[in-house]
Amino acid sequence: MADIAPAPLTASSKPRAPRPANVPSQRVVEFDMFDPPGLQEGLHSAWKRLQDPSLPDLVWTPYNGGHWIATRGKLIKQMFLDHEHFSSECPFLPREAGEQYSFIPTSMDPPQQRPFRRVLNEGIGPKVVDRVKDAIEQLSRTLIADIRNQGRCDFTREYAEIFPIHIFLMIVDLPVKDAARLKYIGDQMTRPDGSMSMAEAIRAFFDYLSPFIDERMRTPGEDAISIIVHSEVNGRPLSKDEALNVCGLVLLAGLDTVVNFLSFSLHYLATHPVERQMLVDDPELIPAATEELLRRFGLVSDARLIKQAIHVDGVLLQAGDMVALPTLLFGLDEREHGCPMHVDFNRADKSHITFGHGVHHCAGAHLARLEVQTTLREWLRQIPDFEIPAGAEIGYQSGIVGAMTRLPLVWATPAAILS
Amino acid sequence: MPNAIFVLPDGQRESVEVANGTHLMRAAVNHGIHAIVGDCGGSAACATCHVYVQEPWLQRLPAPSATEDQLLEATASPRQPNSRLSCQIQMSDALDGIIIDVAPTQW
Repeated sequence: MADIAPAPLTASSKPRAPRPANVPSQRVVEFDMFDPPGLQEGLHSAWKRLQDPSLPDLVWTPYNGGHWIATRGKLIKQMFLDHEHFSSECPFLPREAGEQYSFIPTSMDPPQQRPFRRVLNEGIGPKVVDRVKDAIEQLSRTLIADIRNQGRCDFTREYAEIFPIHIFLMIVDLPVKDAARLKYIGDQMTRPDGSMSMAEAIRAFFDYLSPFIDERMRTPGEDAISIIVHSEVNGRPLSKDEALNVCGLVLLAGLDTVVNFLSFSLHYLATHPVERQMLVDDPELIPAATEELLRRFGLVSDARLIKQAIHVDGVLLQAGDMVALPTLLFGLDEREHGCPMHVDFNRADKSHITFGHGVHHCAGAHLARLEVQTTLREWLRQIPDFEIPAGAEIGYQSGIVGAMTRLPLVWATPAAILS
Repeated sequence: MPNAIFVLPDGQRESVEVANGTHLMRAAVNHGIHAIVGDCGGSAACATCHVYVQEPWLQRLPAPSATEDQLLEATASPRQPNSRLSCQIQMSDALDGIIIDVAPTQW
């Protein structure tokens, strides 16, 4: 596939912030990260427009309160590593949402962040993954077996929004019946529809989590929440408030990342029969294919607050400015990868920052990789041949975490093949 | 400049000149050794630069920090007594000639 030709960026109907004195006019782009121009043709092609050769590596948009956007892989990495200038104190856009964001350790910088990160690793890091590996395989196999005889499904609703959330609720030992409600609240943080502010959404998570945390402080189980609430930082137990903020982060991360990534992966495989057949013929290729899909279909665009003025890419960023660091742009950057829009499972360098970069690198990356690899293996084993029905529409959403809202798939059922 | 020898999972050996003070993960990535991933950029947050350090160089390394030790509990390839994260190994004259077996899988 050829690289997508960039189209002009067009205006959103949202309010525009006035251009501050430190923003040169040639740095201004019309880009609403929650509703970028061209979104309905695809999330990644819409963001890719920010890498148009006519644009500088660092641009500024008047939407969502006005903020910088780093558009190239090298600059995005540089800012993620420099936490002294680019602070996680306000890690989400728009700023008023980011300021209400209190989750731990994602709203902290080192050295304060370090001991809390260890708590997070204990709770949901790779050791936990080994414990749930069999359950992951079992659930994936069963869900797909149920779907298979239908001959069609909306993959997003019937698999992607079920599988990782159930696994996750099992790891934290929360009732599966609460999945839909929790997912709705989480979505208001990453792709708000205006029905709830960030503060209200966080409060709703805390109200939900609080009795579970109290219960597990008294009678711990083997689950991630029990592990987290009984851990220590700097030689003292975690406070209730800290426990809420760590568990809140875990909940948000578990509800809204793999869910979205799985739909992008299956969309790719449904529309690329040759590459799909490669994985059917050689399932050993699936871990490498997973990395290449992670490179091509990153999802997250978080942000940093500039703590001290700094010159970058020929402009002065002032203390108090916000910058979006779209991790999904790294893998799409032709300065990092040849033919970046093309998926090649045998690409030697599949490097990406889809799980972030620097001290906040995703603590659940091992779990995410296992969930994706397991899904690809089981789906292709049971439903090796599938496509998107003619005329079907795919729905995309953009935000802190990009999403596919609808992915209709069809295939021949075993019954249909026999008749 | 001191030298580091990376033994790749397929048995191939890559000899790399590494400036004093440079971390081995960074040197490997810059040299195009893709078997070392280094997802988090050297922040000891991801465990995707896992290596096995041969003697006598292993004993010349400072002991792993609590963070490195915790991450080594969680590597994709099994932890061995000589497992280290290469983002935490800083090159020095004392490490000249160091032989590092790169873990077979990082994810």
